[in-house]
Amino acid sequence: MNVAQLLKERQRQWKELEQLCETISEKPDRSRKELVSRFSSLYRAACADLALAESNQLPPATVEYLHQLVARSHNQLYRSERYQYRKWYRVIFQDTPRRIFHDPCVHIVAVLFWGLFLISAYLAYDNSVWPGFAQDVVGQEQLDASADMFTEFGGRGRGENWMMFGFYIFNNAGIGLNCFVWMLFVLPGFVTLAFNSVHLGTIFGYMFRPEVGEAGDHFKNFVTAHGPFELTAIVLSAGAGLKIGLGWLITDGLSRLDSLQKAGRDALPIAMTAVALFCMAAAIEGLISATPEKHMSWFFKGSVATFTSFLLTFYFVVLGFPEPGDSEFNFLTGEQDEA
Amino acid sequence: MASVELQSGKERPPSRRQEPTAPPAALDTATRVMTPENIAFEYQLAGPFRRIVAYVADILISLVGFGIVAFVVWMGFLFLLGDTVIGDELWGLLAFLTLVAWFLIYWFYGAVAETYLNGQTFGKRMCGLRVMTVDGHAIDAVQATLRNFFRLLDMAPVVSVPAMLGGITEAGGFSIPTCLIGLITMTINKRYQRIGDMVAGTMVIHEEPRTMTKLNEFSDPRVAALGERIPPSFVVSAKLSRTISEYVDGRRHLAPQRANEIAVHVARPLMGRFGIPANTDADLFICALYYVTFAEQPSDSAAASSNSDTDDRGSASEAATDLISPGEGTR
Repeated sequence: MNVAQLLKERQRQWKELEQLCETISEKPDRSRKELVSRFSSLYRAACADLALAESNQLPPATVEYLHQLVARSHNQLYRSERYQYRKWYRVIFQDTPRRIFHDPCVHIVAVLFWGLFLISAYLAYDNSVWPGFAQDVVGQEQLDASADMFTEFGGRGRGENWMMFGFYIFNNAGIGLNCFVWMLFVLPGFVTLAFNSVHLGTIFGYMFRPEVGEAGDHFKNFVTAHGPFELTAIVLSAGAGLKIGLGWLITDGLSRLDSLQKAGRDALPIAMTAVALFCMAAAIEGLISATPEKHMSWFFKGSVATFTSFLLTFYFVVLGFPEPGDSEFNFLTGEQDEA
Repeated sequence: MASVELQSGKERPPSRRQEPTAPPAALDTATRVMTPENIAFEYQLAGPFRRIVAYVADILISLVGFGIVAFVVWMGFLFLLGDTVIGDELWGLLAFLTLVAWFLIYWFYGAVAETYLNGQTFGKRMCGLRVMTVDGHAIDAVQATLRNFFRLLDMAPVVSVPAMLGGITEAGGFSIPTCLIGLITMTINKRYQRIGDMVAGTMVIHEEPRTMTKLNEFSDPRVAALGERIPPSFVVSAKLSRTISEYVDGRRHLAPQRANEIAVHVARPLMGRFGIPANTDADLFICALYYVTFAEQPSDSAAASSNSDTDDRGSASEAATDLISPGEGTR
């Protein structure tokens, strides 16, 4: 068959496909259904035309046109996978806690963060093993500044509380995501994490010293309630980031890029858990932590901390623990091996 | 959901990448993918400068959208409750809603838009860009979220304006992202992927709707006439058909002498084979070859050409004079 005849014959269908490409995504679902089968048969025909372009000796401009037409139709036909809410229960209450429970990166970060935090808190509080530790690490100026800040701080009004709730979400979850992302370059991530844990730990230890006085009471009153959620969220976001950072360093037989992508896919639920924890911590920090002692006793805030710690334990340990029959769970990679 | 939403790959182990064995793309801005229909086609990759336009458009869109929503909510609150309880608490609540909305837009606008709009944000749609997996599939929510989180890294390092102007050492204030990390990453891989794309396994392509180009037509009647001198038994090879098609598409940009210079290399050996005089215009001959190969000929003329073919075998000089006389051909 001559090329011109072939083009004449096929062109009408290509035009139709081209028009459908533009309109099909804007049609409401119901009328779209009727067009779908037409669309897919036209698409298959265009695919066949492209496949035979060489042997039919189509001119290069036409081949280029066909490439573009097939590409556009392909993108109309194969849609992005949307959020599958039905899967979410499983992801949130089964897969993610198990993954976190078994994830070596989370373990490393947790040990590092809490270890440095507790050591520096002890050194700053005790002040006899390493006299002047707090001043050496943070500097007297900043210690005084935070002491002053909490001396004046007696709580906020309720309106301001709501605003701070929003601010804490924006700020803290933002910091967590920053931490997650920057862990891709492992070393700077570790340095930031270590710096922050030492810094935080030192201030904690210093503020609990008896000589700090009133500021210490206010401080204790403020940090208790949201502490568990927030500190865990930091560990999780850094752990998720470390997973990606090690993903392109330790490839486990995959190509570097594939390993990185796999790590990213695995780390995202952990990072999202961290975001959720940051948001919950922000709610507590904004609405409960800042309420002055005369309205809300420290005992209540302590109970909140205990309760949230209990929730975290339940989530990570009880839900995270593999079921007895769960032999397919790979303890090394923290992954469900699906045969 | 309509069945258009065939999900292309539910389980996509990242280690499996289809590298089609087809010849490499002619241009380095194109990438070849294999579809489930087992057909390979090419996508045009989008470079950084197309994408930055889309991103700026996205920023503007999200700012305007955020502004409108915030304005409506604030006004609504003030009008509905304004007289009664416009206290401290209400202001706090409004500030809370505003901050949360901005948090969601800042971190999740791109992810949600790309998930729902099939790999496009509104800015990308305006610029004709689309995010795809490197295999050419549609992306999923995980990939959309990852690539948008990691934009933060791609926009680094950030230059602080106050620090530049006044030498202030404190962080904060207005700062400009230099996007250097993203730019460098894009230049060192063949798909223009930034770090976010590499983590998510995606690429950004440019979809330009192209119009169907028509076959070239010739007003010169000598083309058809000369076409009849070419034996119908002659089969144009794939390579030759591509060559003459490229030539005819481009010849109107060439001066006649230059066109002849180019055409003569292909034309002369063939003319010798068909017994066409060597002094025939080479450009004209290639056009005739194109006409015979691609254009539709009326059936009677096809029959005539086969007749005249046998006649003309010996009388090449006649053919040459024929070419000068107009009105022979059908066009």
